[in-house]
Amino acid sequence: MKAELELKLQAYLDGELSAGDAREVDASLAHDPEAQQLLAELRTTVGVLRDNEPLMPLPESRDFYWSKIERAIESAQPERVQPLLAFWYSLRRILVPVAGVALVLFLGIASLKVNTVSDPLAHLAEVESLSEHVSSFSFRSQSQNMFVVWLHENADEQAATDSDDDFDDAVLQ
Amino acid sequence: MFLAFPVQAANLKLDAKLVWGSDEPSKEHKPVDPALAATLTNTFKWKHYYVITNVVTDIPSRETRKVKISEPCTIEITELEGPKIEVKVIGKGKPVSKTVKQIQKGEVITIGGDAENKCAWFIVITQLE
Amino acid sequence: MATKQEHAALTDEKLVRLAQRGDMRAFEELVARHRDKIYARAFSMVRNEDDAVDLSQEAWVKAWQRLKQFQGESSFVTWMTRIVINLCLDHLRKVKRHRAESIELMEEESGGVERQMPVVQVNPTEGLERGEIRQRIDKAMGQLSYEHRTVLILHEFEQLEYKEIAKRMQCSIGTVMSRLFYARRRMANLLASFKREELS
Repeated sequence: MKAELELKLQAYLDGELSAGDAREVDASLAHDPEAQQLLAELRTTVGVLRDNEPLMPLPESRDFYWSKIERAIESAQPERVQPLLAFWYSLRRILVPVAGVALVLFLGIASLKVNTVSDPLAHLAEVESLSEHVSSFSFRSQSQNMFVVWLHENADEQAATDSDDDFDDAVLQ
Repeated sequence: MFLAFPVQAANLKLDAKLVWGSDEPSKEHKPVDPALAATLTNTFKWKHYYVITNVVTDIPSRETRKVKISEPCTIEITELEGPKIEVKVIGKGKPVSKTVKQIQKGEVITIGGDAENKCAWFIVITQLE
Repeated sequence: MATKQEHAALTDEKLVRLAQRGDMRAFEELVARHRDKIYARAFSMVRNEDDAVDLSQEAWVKAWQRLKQFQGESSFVTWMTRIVINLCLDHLRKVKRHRAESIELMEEESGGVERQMPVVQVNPTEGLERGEIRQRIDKAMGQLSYEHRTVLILHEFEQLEYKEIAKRMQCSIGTVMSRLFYARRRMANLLASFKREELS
């Protein structure tokens, strides 16, 4: 079968032919068993695919995944920071940076439950990066009852550094 | 005669683990207990979690204890009023981070980061009874 | 401020309106609701978990930045999916510049290979459970070149027309048609071969 006819058959299946071309294909199909078989195969394949798209759950928890997105959003819009962060940025300008110390204040405030007796301030935390090579972000997973601080090497440092002072080697060896 | 006994605040007993997270199974390392495995799996993307070091430490009130969790890494844990704990991570003698948090029974405090070969390291701290 | 539970009860449209007014928690609920689908689309295109996580997160950040432009002309998830698809296509183009042309694509462009593949006359997934069918499709997709996989995803799963696919893949409609034809024939033959392996 000619390539042109095959592609026309496919376009016929996909509803991409004009009415006139579609009628032509219809007519030729009646006398062409090879074309009928090919069309049947294409139709079956399309049906199988459309009904069975593979599922792929995200391999990260809601909190971890969201915390990275939130951080990226906030770092992309410094002029629209929330009042608490605005206070924080102004305080940072006052503090004298010593050996690249960057202070990040994180407030995690647990949602108040009606029947809880727990202290709402219990989830307040303070996280500070003590190295100019390292940044951090933190979040609390309520479902897992876990507070997480995630440390990562600054991107510029990752590109430039290839020495024994590699941050990750400093923990795991 | 009246004898006065000094009143001592109870020590804070903490369990600190260095955990390695990996997508590849390892027969050479001991997996974390199922409860911790579930907590970590439900939060992070790695499939397998192994205990590298496990240290139980008693921290007297307002004092600091150093815990060596690996050759290059020490954590300094200070018991503060609250009770809160301050956890300093020190890698190869250099301070890396400091976290101050109120410690709750049953809560897990985890400090982690990416490691080589798409693995991750975690310092997992829990309060023991 | 609405709680997480209250947000969970709202429709996408209401959440979008709240998020457009700056309600980050409403946006967080949209992320929670649709993150698997957006990640799955990214993974299906780039076939790498880490890249798919990064690209899907980048898509969410872009969506937040452009949210005011979303006027409800399509569903929110359709709009989001378009964003992640475009990011994946950009990513794949960058990666392609650094690797050799795939053998598959060379075969397709030299023409005729798909005509040598026998017509698969019986549905190769008949009698299989849905989970098994999905696994086999996933395995087969992994064996296609990125161009063939992309055209299949955009047509069969995203239901885009040839013209729209050509625009996104920056190629001619003729190229879209050839790639789609090859991809479908190859998919049918791969699924048939998996069935033969199972029976042998």
